[in-house]
Amino acid sequence: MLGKLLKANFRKDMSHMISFLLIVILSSSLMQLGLMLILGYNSQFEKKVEELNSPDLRVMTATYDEKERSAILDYISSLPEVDYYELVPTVTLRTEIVSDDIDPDSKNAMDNVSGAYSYVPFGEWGEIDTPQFIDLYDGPVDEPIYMSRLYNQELFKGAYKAGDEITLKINGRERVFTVAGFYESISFYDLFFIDPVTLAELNSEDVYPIDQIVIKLADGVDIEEEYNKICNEFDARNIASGAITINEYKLLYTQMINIISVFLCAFAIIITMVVLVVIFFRITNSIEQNITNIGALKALGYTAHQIRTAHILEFVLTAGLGFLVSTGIIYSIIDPLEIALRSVAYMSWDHPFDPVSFIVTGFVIVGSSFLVALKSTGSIRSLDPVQALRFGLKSHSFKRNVFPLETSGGPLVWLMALKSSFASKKQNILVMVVMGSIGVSLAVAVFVGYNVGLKPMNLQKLLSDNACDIWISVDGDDPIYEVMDLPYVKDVWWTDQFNAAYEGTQIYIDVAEDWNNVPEVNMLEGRLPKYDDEIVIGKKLSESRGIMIGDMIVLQTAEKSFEFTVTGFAQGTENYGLFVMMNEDSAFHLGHTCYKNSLYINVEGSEPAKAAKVVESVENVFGDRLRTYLDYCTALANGEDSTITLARVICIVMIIVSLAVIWLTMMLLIKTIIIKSQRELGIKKALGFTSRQLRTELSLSLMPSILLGISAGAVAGILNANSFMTVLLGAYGVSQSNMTDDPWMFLSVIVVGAIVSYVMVYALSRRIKKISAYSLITE
Amino acid sequence: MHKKSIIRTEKLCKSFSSGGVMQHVIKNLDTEIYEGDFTVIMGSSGAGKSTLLYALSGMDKASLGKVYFSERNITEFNSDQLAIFRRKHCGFVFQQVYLMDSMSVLDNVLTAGLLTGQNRRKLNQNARELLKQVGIEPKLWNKFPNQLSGGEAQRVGIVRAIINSPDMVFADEPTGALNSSSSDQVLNVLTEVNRKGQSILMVTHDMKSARRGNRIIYLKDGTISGECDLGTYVSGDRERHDKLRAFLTEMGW
Repeated sequence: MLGKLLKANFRKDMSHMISFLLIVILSSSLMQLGLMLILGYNSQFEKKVEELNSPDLRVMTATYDEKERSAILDYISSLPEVDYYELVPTVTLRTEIVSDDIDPDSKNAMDNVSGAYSYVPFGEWGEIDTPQFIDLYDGPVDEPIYMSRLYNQELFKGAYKAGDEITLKINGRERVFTVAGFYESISFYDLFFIDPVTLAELNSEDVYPIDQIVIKLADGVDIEEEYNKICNEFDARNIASGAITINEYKLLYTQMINIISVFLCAFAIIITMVVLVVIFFRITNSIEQNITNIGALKALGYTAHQIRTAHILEFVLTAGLGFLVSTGIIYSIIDPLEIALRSVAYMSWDHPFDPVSFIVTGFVIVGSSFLVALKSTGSIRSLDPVQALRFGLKSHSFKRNVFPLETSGGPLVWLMALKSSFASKKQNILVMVVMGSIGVSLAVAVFVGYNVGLKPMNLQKLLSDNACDIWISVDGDDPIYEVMDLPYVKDVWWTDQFNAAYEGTQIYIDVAEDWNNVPEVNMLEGRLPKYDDEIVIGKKLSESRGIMIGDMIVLQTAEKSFEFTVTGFAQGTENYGLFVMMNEDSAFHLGHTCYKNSLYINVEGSEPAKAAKVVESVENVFGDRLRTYLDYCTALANGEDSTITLARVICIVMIIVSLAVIWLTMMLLIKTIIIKSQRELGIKKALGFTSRQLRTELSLSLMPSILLGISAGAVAGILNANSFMTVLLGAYGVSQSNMTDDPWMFLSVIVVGAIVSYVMVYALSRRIKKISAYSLITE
Repeated sequence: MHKKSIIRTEKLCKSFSSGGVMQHVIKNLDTEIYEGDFTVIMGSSGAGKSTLLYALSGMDKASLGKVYFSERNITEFNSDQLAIFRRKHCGFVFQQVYLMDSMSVLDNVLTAGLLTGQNRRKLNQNARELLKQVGIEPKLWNKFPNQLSGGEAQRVGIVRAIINSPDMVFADEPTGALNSSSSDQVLNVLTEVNRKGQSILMVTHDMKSARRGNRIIYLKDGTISGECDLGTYVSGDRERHDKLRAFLTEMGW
């Protein structure tokens, strides 16, 4: 009996269920994919750390002789927290990449990746972070070279494949290598492995005496504390050093994927809400429309439980089918997707079947569908068959006559539309919830699209206290004066960086001549430093240490310590937000003499064409004194940044999926409205309304709820977009996103969303053309 | 006196396909409907009465042949042109009334009037007068159709049909769903409206209703098998009743 009822329901609702199924597939795909990515990449990272025995800390020191090296290693081995360590036999050599695509004379860091690279004799690795070789070339190789997958992606934009030749000019000597394979390693992604004999031949002049030490700490040791301890010690000994923790590596490998996943899951939740509202709307409407049938079924002996179950199963089975289809889709596209994601994840992902994301998504989609369907069918239980057969006594419902035609002015179609728009509370709620949800996602897409895709400098400003159009590194005394008066240069400033300790924690110090003259410093609270005993600190530092504006804090270097007054908090991701900004005079108090050869330039109007002119002028003025430069302005405009490209892709996907959800929901809604209003539409046609008038009336009648919904969603989306970005980028050190969230953003979402929705509803209402007045009479 | 023809058909055919089999409901029908007449179409069930009514009114399209309505060949009109034509030239009274449930009594009437672009103030006045004339009290004007009795609803339907003073009111079994007392009220209204010059074409299988017409067309198997001229309706006219009965008997009713 139940099977027959279910079959009848499916047959009756087939077209509605197809729309519903498509929305479920969308939400389920996004949710499962988001969960798979976030769980998969994070566990993959942990797995790789385990497999490769990756270090907790990687320390790099400038070591000039064996005595110094011994002292450093003695110190490390003396630390009780260190379980064991290895000195990696790296040799750092000046290297030029010789390629037709690379101009060896170019100083553009984007075009010419030549510089100092570290080499390791093939086979001479230890137990810590043993490289895992992949994609090995099986042909004959004379001069093999192995590079990390990350390097291939970062340096060469994934240009090399196993078996390709790569010509390197190492210490002035050109050598043709064959890419014999790639490797994966958590910490050693920045090394080349070559034949030991070749390396010995090339290593005639080790110009960069850098030692690489990888350390495994004892269980339970706080990695960050140990990091600070070692760095402070090296600072105290005046040893130039740097260190990276495993947590930072994790951020490098997984954070971008985490951001994508959060976007996908947030978006999936929005669409799932739409799915649930659609279930509620469809079931309650179906009950209303078929109340006499339900009464007849009850009269025939069907129990309320059977009728309810048939309704519930119809949606639960469709949701389940959608969920299974989405699973199939995801696993069929996961291979190419994984390859595409390597450009931001830098590591391969095994992507086995993920039971957690499968079960969680299934539970959320199917479980919530079940609960909503259960709730929506509640009215069947209490329905008396006689009452149902008499149309549930609803034929005597009394309504309010809104916009009476005798007193209301305006075109008839508009008035009719207004009347209709007040006719169904349930329908209005559905439209408002759907459009509200879509409004949120469209608003976030516009916000991200504008601030990251169109005006990437806004993101740069959020991530750095030195956001600029062009960065140059030049030789000479006070080179800033040679740049100031170049055409199209709007602002130029220098900054210098060094490290100091605050209560044992390594703090990154960013120095400018006077921060008040640096444009667009992203100040969150307070003011910039004016006097030599004043500093501004990163908001993240203030939060982690409870430092308030007006507090005095002591900073310490190997040479000196000094007490500064905090005058404000700034946004920046330098050292994950643990940074201090001070003026040149203040740096003297810590014994630091500024190096003023790193210059930041803003170009008039931030126009790429003008940036190119500035670069040309800089090249002419400095000649060989120009070491390298980065033209962010042009690079960002050309989409050469993978983050920005990714942001653009995410925005486009969000917009397309949002429009698809509007389309599918409206398709379902319009079908329901037309079926529900078939009689009235027929009467209107008989009276002389044209199909165009009726379609216009229907489209206009939905506009109040569309406008209300999308306005609420867009305003909420824009107002909360910065908070969302703060959470999303928090791991990078962003403590308060303050990117542009102007009213034009939500206004554009409202206007464009409303117009697109109107056009969609009008297009979808073409079924009205098929309704003839005659069919009304003869039905 | 020569009567002016409003509707004229030439070889009108209407066929339907049912289960792959063509059913010819109206066959090569030639007829004229005249201005000011209360024409009644009668016939046995399935004779094609309603089909003819809707083909003549442009509510449905003819399969073959032509329908001239006020000398315009409406069989050449597309659906939108027909809709615009209907709103200006036709009024409809249906068996099931078909008032719009979501609109008040007055709004149901005004909708039809506003559709033709009538002056809102004059239309309002006219609608109120007509509603009063058909016995719909002002207290009912802002009620919804489901708050009216069947007779009241049908009288509102008649007002809606005549609000634009159409060339022809098409009534399809207007009393078919009403009790005897309500039927009389509705027929009285239609008779009164016709007396004031409104042309009416009504389909019925009820002799009591048919008696109100001055011209009876009898339809059989999709063709006109006979006509009867009853003259102007007078209440209680026994002779008229007998004449109609004789005609119908002759037609095999």
